[in-house]
Amino acid sequence: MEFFGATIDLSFWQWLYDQPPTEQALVLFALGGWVFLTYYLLLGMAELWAEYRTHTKYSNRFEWVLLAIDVPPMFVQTPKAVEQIFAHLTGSLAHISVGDKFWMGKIQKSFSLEIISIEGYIQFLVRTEEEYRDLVEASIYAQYPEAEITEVEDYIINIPDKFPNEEYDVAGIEFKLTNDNAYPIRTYQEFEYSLSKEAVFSDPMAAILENFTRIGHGENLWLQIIVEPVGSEWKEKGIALAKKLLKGEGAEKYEIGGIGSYLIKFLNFFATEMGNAIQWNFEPKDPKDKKKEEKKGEGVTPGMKKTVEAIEEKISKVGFKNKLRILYAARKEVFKPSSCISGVVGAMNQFQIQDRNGIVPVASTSAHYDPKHKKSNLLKTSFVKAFKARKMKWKKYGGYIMNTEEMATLWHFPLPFVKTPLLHKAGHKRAEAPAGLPIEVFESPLKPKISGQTSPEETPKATSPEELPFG
Amino acid sequence: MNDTIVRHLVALIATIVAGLAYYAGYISGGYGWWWTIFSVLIVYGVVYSIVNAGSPPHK
Repeated sequence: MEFFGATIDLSFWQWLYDQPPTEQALVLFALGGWVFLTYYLLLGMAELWAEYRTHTKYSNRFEWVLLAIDVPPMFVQTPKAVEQIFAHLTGSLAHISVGDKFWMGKIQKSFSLEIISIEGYIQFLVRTEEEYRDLVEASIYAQYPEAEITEVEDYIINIPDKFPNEEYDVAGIEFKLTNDNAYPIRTYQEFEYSLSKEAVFSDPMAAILENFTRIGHGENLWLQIIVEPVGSEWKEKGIALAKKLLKGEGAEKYEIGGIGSYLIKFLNFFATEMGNAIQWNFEPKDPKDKKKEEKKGEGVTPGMKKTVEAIEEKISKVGFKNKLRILYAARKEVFKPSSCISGVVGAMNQFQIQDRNGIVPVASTSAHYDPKHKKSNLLKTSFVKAFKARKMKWKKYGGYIMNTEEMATLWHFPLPFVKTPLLHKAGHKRAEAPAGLPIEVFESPLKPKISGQTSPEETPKATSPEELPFG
Repeated sequence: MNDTIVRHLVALIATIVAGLAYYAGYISGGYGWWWTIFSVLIVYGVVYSIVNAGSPPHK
């Protein structure tokens, strides 16, 4: 075939066209289709390899520390202080090179921000790797100078690893964002309202903690937010989204990254051109259409402009990869997850803003079409394993990005007016109580961790050095 | 994950990729060497994108 003086040989395509479909598929696979299969195989191999190196070279040396944090009961600090704590924690952001990742198995170390209720005893905890213990303590003391930080033993070891179990049963829920990472949720600043001249703060923690106070004997409710600092990649995506919204194009809800997006774009282009060919339309695009596209942005609604402003505000702050999950564990005779889990799920709805973002459950330990509870028991076992290890990813559900302001909204020490009688708080003064007072004491079920402790019998008796000038 | 399973999986994937490359060369040889070269170049780009540690912390 002659085309502008050049000869194009189409005999191969004519031959391919004449072949049966199976032969066509085989030839196309051999000539280039195998690259797609190779991509997914190599991707899987790279992930397996990196995980293998992490387990054998890096994470097996981690020493996790669980810190119980008590703040004074009448110490008034807004969630802004906790936001500062999180900003401080970005100091742990590691620069990981290709060699670090694939040879040394290096990964970004994470923190776990936890709120737990053990039989109604509520405690705020932070789990960190030993390397960042000082960073965590310094960041908390900087904002709460009178806070008490105690290293405690991991409370979760009492729960069995495998289900079904004769003694215990569990129920867990994993949460996700409803929209793209760049959209913000309702943050603590939007929980302020004014009944009088002074701004009043309706603490969102009150609704969450209320469910933790309802835990009775033999029951436990634990909430964990796994966080790890991230670079600036998510911000660039946020800027691109804001620009798109300003053009009036709207966001593509289900974006496929990498090679998949190119494939979809190519197929889209191919389908459009095929449509043009069928309609015998080879005219270039009308220049008026271009002007129409340029004018698209003029139709952006005031609400959309506010959303874009909110996106810009979100990306102006430091981001963390997050994962929120709750676990209800109780003895079988008192097991009643609906009494508190649905309350926590409901409390998460207060962070929802229409057309922006919200926090909703994405997966749980319950299963459909499971009369013998086989599937749900498998889910429970794997959920508890992920919860104990504080894993960012459970099944296919990975983390999402939140900035420090959003994180501080979800996890901050409640303000003094929030009535949580069993929330453990640091004392006002360390003075001896008057004798004979009828004091009811709630003992902490968390055991303080004491390293290198020896019994009084084993303590070696100190002997004074011989050459001292005193007798 | 068990070491033995990882080793088996890596060996299996490497074998499949080698088999695919051989098959592509065998078939495309009859139609033109550029098919294999072009596909292998794409594989180069694919591997380059996979072997990535993520974005640097602060740009």
